[in-house]
Amino acid sequence: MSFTYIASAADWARIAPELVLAGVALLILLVDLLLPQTGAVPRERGAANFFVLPLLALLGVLGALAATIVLFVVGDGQRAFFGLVGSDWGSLYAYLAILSAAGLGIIFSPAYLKRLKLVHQGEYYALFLAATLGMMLLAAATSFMTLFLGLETLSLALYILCGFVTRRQSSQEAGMKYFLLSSFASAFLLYGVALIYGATGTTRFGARGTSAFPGVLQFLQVHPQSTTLLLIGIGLLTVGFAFKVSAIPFQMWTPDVYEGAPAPVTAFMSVGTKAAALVAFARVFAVVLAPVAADWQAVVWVLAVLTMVGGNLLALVQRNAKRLLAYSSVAHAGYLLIGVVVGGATGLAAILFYLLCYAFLNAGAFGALSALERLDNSGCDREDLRGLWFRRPWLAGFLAFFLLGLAGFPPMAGFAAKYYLFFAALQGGHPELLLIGVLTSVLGMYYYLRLIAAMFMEPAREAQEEALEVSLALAVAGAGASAGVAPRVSGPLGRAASTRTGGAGTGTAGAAVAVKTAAQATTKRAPAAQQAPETREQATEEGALAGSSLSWTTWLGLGLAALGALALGTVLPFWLVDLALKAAGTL
Amino acid sequence: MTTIPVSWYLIVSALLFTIGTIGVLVRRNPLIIFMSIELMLNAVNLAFVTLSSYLDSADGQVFVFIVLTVAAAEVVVGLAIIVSIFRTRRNIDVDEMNLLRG
Repeated sequence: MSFTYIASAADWARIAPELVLAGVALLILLVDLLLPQTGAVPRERGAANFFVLPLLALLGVLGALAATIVLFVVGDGQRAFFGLVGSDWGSLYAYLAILSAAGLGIIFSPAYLKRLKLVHQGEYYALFLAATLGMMLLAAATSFMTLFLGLETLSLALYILCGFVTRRQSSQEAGMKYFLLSSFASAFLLYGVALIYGATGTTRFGARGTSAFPGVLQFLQVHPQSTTLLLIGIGLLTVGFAFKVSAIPFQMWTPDVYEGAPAPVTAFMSVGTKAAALVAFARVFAVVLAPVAADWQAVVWVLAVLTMVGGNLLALVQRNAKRLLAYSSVAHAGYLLIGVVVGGATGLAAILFYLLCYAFLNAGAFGALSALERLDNSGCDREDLRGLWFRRPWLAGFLAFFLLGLAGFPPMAGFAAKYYLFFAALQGGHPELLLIGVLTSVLGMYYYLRLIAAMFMEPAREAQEEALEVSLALAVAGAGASAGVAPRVSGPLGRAASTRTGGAGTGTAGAAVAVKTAAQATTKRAPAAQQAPETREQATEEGALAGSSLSWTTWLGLGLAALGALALGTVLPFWLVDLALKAAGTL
Repeated sequence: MTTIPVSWYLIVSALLFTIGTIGVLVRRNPLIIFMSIELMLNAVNLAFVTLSSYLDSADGQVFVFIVLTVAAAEVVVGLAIIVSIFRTRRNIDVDEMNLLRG
């Protein structure tokens, strides 16, 4: 065997968006070292970091976006590096969704990092771009090698980003859980790839309609009979992919990781990972393994139905908004799997369009939550969101906008996205999926609307009243305790105190009651105190929150996401679906 | 001289993979879980090398190098996460990691 390796300039041009991101990620690490250093913590930098680094990262994303659009217009859509990476319109369309999510995530980051006083910002943005790069590589992969490489690039960067808030135990826990479960899933995926390689003799996918770089597709077209090796391989591959797109019953990591990770990272990863993994899933199953569709279609059908029903049902019982959105994203993965089952140009186009709409809606919703999240990961419970409309009307309005969009109400993108997906199900001959999809969407409206109702209609938990109550209880307890200690010394005083507190007959009885109240009060406070060791920082953070002066970057991000969601739902859907249809044909 | 049939290699690889899977599911120490995952990856490598020589194609061997590299990178990140958790909790048992649930 002898091999020659020739990479032409055209090959490099075809992966220009990835190259831009890789370059800017390295540049950010360099610039981070050059920026002036202030602050007591050695790695804590001056105010310039909160501006220069995110701006640089954003420019990188915009540069990649520009390169993507240029490739749309002038690119030849051929595969680069001997059929390893695609530059077809399908991949480019997926880039749009991934880059939108990355851009929004970066815009939400500086305010969040500042509020939580997180250092190591150079690494943060570099890893952010590295994860984006991995996602794009995964979405564009036309070989199992590139697929695995992209998957691991994005996962490795995200493990660190999930555990980035080192002072928060839940963040570390999220990083650990994501790391262990994701690498476990990768091993399954990889074993599946090995067996498929054994059955077909190649790891390349192979393109439709051309025999330039033959791969699995060409082999299966010639030998459509499924061998045992191939079947086991497809089974393991399904498990691996189901983990990555968080389909039930492989969803257990999703809520934990989404809840524990910093909110801007969640905003980015919930969309980006899903988009990349689903495009890869769709490409591998609905295109490459299409000749043996009879072998896997039933399995993916079951996964889709389980995920739609289970995701929505589990979301119903959640009290934390981040966790609720995590389960809602599981449910959305279920809707998206409909597209994989249906396959064909309409199914794939529906997936691509849905992902683009979902990028703006979900990133926006998590972005709004990023303005509420505190260092100890509290602040996103439904209790905390109660009466948000009266305290911070704009933030509540934005969050409600995105939630309504996710629920699928018409003016926002969610409706158009769901419409095309369900339409594809009907056209592809799966009316049962249409029915289940619509029914579970209606179920889903309940939890979105309940959150909105909590924000707009329920009064806020009266913080002042509660504080008064606690101080009263403490005062009573103090009086009672003194009465309990003192009665033998100064009987009349203790008796007076006890009668004043509860009207109890004797001093000792009053003391007992008062001590019990005190004990209750302290036990009620204790868990809160344990969870937040940095009470002083907490307090200042609280002050910043109460001021309701959101950073302009957060407003910019929320506005852009809302604008995108609205435009995708009203002005652009016909044109974009048309584009998606053309793109799906090239996957 | 007779050669060992390909299926034997594949059986060993499947056994290794199964042992790794059981290890991940049964053990509670993240270091051991991680080692089990590495065992699964090496089972994959064995399968790749075997199939590569059986099919007389280089794809499998190249894939092994990619898997090895990625596994090394995973060790770096994984151990860093484990160390960072140990610093704050003094305990890395995965059953104790139950802040996030519901």
